[in-house]
Amino acid sequence: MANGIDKSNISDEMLLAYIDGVLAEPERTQLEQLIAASVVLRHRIEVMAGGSRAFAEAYELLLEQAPVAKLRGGLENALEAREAALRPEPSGPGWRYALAACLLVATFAGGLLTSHIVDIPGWSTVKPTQTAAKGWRQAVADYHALYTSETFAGAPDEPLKHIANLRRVSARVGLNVTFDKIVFKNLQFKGARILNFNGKPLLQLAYLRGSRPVALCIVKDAKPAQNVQNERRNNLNIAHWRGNGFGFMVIGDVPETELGTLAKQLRLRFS
Amino acid sequence: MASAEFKAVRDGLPELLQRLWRYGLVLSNDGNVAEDLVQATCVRALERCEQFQLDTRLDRWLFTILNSIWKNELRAQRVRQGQGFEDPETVLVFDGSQHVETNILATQVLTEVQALPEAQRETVFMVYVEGLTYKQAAEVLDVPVGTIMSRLATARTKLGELSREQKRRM
Repeated sequence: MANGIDKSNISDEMLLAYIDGVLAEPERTQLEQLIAASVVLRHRIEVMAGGSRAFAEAYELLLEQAPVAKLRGGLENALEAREAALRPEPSGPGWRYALAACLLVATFAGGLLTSHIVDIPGWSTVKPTQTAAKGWRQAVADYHALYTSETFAGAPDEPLKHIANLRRVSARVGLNVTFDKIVFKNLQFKGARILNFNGKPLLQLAYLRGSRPVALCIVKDAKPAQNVQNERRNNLNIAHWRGNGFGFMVIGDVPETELGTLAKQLRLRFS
Repeated sequence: MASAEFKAVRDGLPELLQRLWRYGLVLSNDGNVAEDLVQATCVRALERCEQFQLDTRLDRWLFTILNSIWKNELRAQRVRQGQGFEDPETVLVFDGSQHVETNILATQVLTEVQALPEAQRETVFMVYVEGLTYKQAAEVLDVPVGTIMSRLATARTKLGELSREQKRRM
């Protein structure tokens, strides 16, 4: 036929459409006639049809693996951020950068932070107008993302040096943190200090897990108690909870299960 | 006062989170990255909710956003940081206790598809799992219809050849 299929050039795409049942007439009938007459075409169809799989069923199982609670938590965060972004911003757009500057000035007992500014990977950076909504956990995550194993290198490990300091700094958030509460077998304690979040004191206890920085951060938080929740920010795992008028979080580039265990132990010790 | 578009997006998101995560997993082969992609998609979708047309499909609109975040932002950044991509076999792990036979077969399908190049596997996923037409998949993935068909043909041929090889070995 004059305007029929060019039988010297039948594309894979046409065969695909035929196999998927979406090839329209009159091409469909024409193609079937050609297939009937051609071993080569039949072979091509056979190979492509052999590429069928129970795709939908296989991928259905993946749905069950989705971490629903975490995803909902993420949605909640997004809604809160949007809500707060639409409210008048109390501290002005330069707030985030002022906070970053304060944090960078803080020093470790016996060591100093590197003084140059490290660029946080672009896609998780939040615009200044949204920072009031970020909350303290995001601020901690942004700060923690700057850490390397060298950051803590100057800090001494002897516990005695830290104990007196610990009592003094933890009083600043209104907690009495004794050394036995924060000592762990596979975490090297590297010191405690007070940071400033939005004008309020934030207690940070720094550790090294092997070469990886892990931090426990505590702020006063009047919201009701909450069980340990997991989240991820800036490619770091976080476990956080609230109790007795305080908010707690542990953060680090360590497996989520390990962080969860640590969080549960801490929660018990601080309850 | 919240707009109708905002309400539609806000109210429709919760039940779509699992499918979004699954799509993120198909693209990145990494469950944690998939979580980040879903979160970023929620933020972007709420920011741009006024662009959503009521009475169109929310799921496809969200897939388009997630796809764009992966392609234009997160994927390039991960390559720059040298994080590369996970070996599909190590990422997809199932609790096979309940449906052993189904899971063995499913695992094989998932492994084969996830081993395809990203362009092919995202197309196979959109058309044969999410059930989009070639034209709808072209819109979500932001490529011409001809490209969709070409990717599917190549993927099916590749999978077809795998089947023949396996049969030969048995």
